[in-house]
Amino acid sequence: MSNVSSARLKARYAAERRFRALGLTAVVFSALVLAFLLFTMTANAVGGFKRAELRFPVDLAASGLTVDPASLSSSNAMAQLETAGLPDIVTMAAGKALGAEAAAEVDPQAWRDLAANIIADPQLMRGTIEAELAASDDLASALRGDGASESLKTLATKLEAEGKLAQVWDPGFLTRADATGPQAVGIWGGAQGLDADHAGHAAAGLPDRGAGGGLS
Amino acid sequence: MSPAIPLLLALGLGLIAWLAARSKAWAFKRAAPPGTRAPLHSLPNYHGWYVALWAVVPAMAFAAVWAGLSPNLIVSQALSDPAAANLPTFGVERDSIIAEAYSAASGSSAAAFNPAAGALVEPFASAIRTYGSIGLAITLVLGFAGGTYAFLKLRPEFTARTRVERAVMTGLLLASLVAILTTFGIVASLLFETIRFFGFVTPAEFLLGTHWGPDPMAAPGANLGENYGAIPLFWGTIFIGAIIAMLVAIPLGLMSAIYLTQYASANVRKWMKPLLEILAGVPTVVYGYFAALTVAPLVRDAAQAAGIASASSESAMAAGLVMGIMIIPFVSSMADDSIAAVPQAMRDGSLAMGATTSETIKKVLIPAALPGIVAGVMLAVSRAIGETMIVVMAAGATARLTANPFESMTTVTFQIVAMLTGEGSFDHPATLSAFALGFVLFCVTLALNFIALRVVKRFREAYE
Repeated sequence: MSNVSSARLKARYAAERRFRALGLTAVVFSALVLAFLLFTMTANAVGGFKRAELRFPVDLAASGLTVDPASLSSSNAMAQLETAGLPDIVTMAAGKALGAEAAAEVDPQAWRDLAANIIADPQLMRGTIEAELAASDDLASALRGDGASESLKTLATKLEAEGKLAQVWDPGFLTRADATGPQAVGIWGGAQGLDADHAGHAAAGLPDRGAGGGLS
Repeated sequence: MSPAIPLLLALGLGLIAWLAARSKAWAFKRAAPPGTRAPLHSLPNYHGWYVALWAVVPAMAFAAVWAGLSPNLIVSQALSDPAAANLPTFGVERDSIIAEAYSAASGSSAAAFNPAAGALVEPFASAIRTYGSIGLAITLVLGFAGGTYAFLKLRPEFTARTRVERAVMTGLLLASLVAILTTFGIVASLLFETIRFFGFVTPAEFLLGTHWGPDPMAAPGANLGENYGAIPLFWGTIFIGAIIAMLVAIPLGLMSAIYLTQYASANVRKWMKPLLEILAGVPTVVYGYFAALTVAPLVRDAAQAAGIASASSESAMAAGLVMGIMIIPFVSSMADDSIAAVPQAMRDGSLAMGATTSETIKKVLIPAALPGIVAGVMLAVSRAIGETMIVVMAAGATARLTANPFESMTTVTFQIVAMLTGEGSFDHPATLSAFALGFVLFCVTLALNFIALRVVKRFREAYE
């Protein structure tokens, strides 16, 4: 075989390898983009399923919570516990365990989680509950390290070091229906809203212009 | 009375008709002299179905029409009652009283709370009873008449099977017409609103104008057309959907298809092909915030680092890149199919003459598969220019005629969303412009699909 034709063959084989590598690159690149997309989305989504919670004991037996356990099976049990002063009891317990500064950063509506536990099991009123309640939005963002003031960040670092404040998995994200604050947010209402939105429009006699969904 | 009752009655009549006609047909069969072949044209079941159809279909059709017609008759009869004399003569109040009395009388609400409506409940109830019994009677009579007519036609040589099958064919035709008529309805609604829009703005101003700035709040004035030049939108759509996205999707999609069909081992192909198709299965809204939150800042920083100061955080580049990624599977699966459809003999011939695999692909397979590849690209383009969520989130709202891909740009779909969300009046040109834009988009997509189908058809004929 002459030198000319062997050089030509070499070039042709090199082109063959380049073409093949190009094809492989296209496949791998597409797969990597998909992996990057899924990774970014998952990483961003995980934060949504977590929230900052404060952990402190609430001594219900000594608190003088005067509610008849039998009456808690009625539908206004939440209102009964509110009238009996459960919100104040929670605030006081937080103040005792975490200090006044941190007690102010318990989410004002967080006692409802505790109340729901008590309603589910009235026996809890006879003892001490290890409460894990949502922190305020400010303290939560201080824990994440963005936004909040320096004093809150110091507080968050201190509480976290003591194990009293932590980011925990929040299954309630799927079952709540609230959008008033990052700590209380839930998507159940949105999931329901897929048809509730239409029903609402129909009930109000409005033309249904798909304000909620279905843009694409 | 519930509208289900005439329906059930019609069905009951149909059952009776079916049984009666079938037994009559059996009687024909038995009447034949023993030993000879039965003289029946159709099996007894078909006689049954024929009569049952005649008993049920007219009665059902009437019941459906009556259900739509009777509320008006009921209202007009009830309002001729003396109790209705002191109703307000027109307006919302009158309507709400009538609606309240009607719902109380028909039993869908417990009672009427408005005293004016309370007085009307009794006239309404009696009207509902009257028209309910009339409807029921006519349904029954129609069912009987239809059933009897068909029953009397039964003979041994009667062509019941042919007729039943013709009825089934008609039913199937009606079912397919639903889909076709829906399409016509969509086109007609687009067309009518577009014509209304062109009553405000001339087509020339709309299609050739270069300034887009509709103000949904402004009263329609004299020089309205100046703000409805849609060229920047068309440019944005083409730039993002047909240029940037295709620059990403065609090389990646085509090369992926080539690699997976010609080079990859069966195992790699088995895993990679579905994996790439996941790209088309990600919801577009997820692509939207991927573009807006992850890709757009990267693109902006890269552009600024390269010295383009005008780079914006909403850019045609970000939207186009992500859209290109999204439609890789569209390009690659069509290319895949058409490369696989090239006859093996052509490939073998090329290889046997000493060509390398890549030379075979470039010189033989791709030219032979080109029509299929082109069709795939066209379908991908029509998908890309109709895509909404990605551009809504990542491309921006500014209508701008520029060739700089790092500036924000808007598209036809984004403007349709912008014009139709909110509480705009449907008489205002700003709202109507959405229909005109949609109509243009529809025409372009239709043309692309049409061309793609024609190209595919020619390609199929070439190798069969």
